[in-house]
Amino acid sequence: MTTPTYRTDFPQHCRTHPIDGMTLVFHRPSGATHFLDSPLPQMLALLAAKPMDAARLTTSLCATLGLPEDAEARAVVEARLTDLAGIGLVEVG
Amino acid sequence: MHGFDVRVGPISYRIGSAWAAPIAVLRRLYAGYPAPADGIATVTARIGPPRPWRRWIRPQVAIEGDHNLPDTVPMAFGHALLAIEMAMNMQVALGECRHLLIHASAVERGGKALIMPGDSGSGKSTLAALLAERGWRLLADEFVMIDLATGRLIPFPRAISLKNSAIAEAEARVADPARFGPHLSATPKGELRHLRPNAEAIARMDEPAEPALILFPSYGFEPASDGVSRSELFMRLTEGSTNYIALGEPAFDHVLRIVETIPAARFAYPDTDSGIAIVEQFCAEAGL
Amino acid sequence: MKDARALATALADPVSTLGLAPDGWTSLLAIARAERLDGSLAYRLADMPLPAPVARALEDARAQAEFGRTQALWEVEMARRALAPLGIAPILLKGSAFAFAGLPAAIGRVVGDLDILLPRERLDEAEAALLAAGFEWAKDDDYSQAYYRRWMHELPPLVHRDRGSMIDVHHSILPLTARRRPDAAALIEDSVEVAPGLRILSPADMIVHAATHLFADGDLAGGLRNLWDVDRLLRLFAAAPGFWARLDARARRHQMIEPVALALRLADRLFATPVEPRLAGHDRMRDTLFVRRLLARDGWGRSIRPFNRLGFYVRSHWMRMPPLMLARHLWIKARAK
Repeated sequence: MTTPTYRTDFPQHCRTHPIDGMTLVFHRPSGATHFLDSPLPQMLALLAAKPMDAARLTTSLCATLGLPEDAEARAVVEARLTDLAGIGLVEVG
Repeated sequence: MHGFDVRVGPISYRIGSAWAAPIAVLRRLYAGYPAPADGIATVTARIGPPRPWRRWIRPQVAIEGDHNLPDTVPMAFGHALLAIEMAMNMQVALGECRHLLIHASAVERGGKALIMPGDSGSGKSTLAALLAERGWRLLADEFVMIDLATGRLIPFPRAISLKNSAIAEAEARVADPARFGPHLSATPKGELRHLRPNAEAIARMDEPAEPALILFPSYGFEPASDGVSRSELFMRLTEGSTNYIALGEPAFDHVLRIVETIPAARFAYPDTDSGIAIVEQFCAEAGL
Repeated sequence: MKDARALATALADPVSTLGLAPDGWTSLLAIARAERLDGSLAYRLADMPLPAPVARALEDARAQAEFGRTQALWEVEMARRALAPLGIAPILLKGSAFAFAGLPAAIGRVVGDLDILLPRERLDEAEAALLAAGFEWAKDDDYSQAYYRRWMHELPPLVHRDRGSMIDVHHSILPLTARRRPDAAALIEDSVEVAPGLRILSPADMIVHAATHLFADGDLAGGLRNLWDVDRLLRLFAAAPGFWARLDARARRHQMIEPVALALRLADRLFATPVEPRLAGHDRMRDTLFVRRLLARDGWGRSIRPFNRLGFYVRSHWMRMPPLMLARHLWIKARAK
């Protein structure tokens, strides 16, 4: 099985609003409202610039946020990617 | 089928009952309310026997109408008035899509509205009912309606349901006994008695108000108050709304506007008098 | 109003509403909501001069229909995403198909659950993918699971744990217990791609499916809405040359010639749908019973004629199951209450 690539068209089709350090999102295609806390908005911004797999995204995200890239970071990124795919803000493939 | 047409703010109801008596009680409770515009009721709420024989044999009352929930439990015949009120609420909760619904009570003074969201038992209805007897105008007891075109609060002054200890408090402060419905005891919501809003609330039911302050009451605690963050306010307003999701982006915009422009706080109070004092103090500070 | 005739007439002929009195409007709205045709009615009457309160109510119904459409299309998209990695292109059925393909039947129509049709041999994979995508069984008891898998034409219904939406995964359009055996492979083979990874039934099969739905659904609840689908679809499809001959051939292929004929006759009776007389056949005595059942609503939106309804309920179970199985099924259902 090949490593899945993740893509997003965020923030297209969305209304976004910063609130208490989070990003409030109204997603038009689903009609759903989401509160996104860090690092979700940063992950979406990176994926919007270029679709990539979880490993590359972890590297880019850690560089953006100035965090050490380790197994924990990778696990967090993978879990959050699953969440984002679940609500449809990120698409696999 | 026995019927009664009545308009409450923007909702024109046709209410039906398989029995005559509950309609007679309802007519008395809603005395002085207008008839539907152009004589056309557009929302049907009704009560009837859940099974045909239940009309006569140990009658039971099912809550029905244009919009239905699959698992509403039939009620005892003695609670038919409550069942009608619930059927009326159900139509608004499931069918309204012109106004954003917020689960709250609301009162107005000088054109500005105080909105009090809260769960059952928070005291929001009692506070609204009693404020409406001392210089405020009652706008809503259960459903606050926000007009999606203007952002203003559209009054929906239904009969107020007073529960348990609130009944005696209202009885002590409302002089006219004709404004009360019958005592309903041992309902699923406890002791219950309906109160018709005063004549001013009914006469001015088409006059909107500007949302100006949001207070979350909690009854039964020592006096305390605290701010509510913008994000929490957004969460609480939307999770208490039955039509936020259905209304889509315009609803998002309006809740955002409320959250960003209207001050909000929560407070706890041990008894009604101190609750009213706290509310009045908040309102004085917010310029209501 | 003594039945839902006024609703059928208003849908077929909007001008018929011009003479309605205030209480006639109230009843029409209640009946339309009970039949879940208020959105369809709202669009049909959009250009009519209407009393202001009715115009507002119908505007609201259109807004609700639009919301329903958005949600339905999103469910389609999420199902597509779940199944695309397996190379499975689901065939959308009923409301979701109409909405996605932009067919006139979708205008104002409520879309309930998402219904999709898949080749039977891909069912296990699809099921696993949907479970992984957050769907859960709505009926988790052993009996329901075994019953659906052995006898039904679909998996037990799945509900999404976050969105609360339901998906019905079909491998045919009638239960395996039914006497008639539609040719599922032919349905799939003739289906049409409407977008990458998404398909709908061919026009003729869509009519056949609407006809099964009208008669497979027990007490005919929602029957008026299904028949309105038939009307909307036929008015579009019948314009294509050779359509009636194709419909005839497909109805035979799926062992559905009588139900299709009945659907055509009922659509003609209720909505004056243009139908091919040879395919529709002659009126039968039974047709009147069906019409009465389809229109069984009083002016308060309540179902009426309970005895007639019960008759249809039992009839439908007999239609789908051999007698011993029916007894077993009703017994287990009764004990579950």
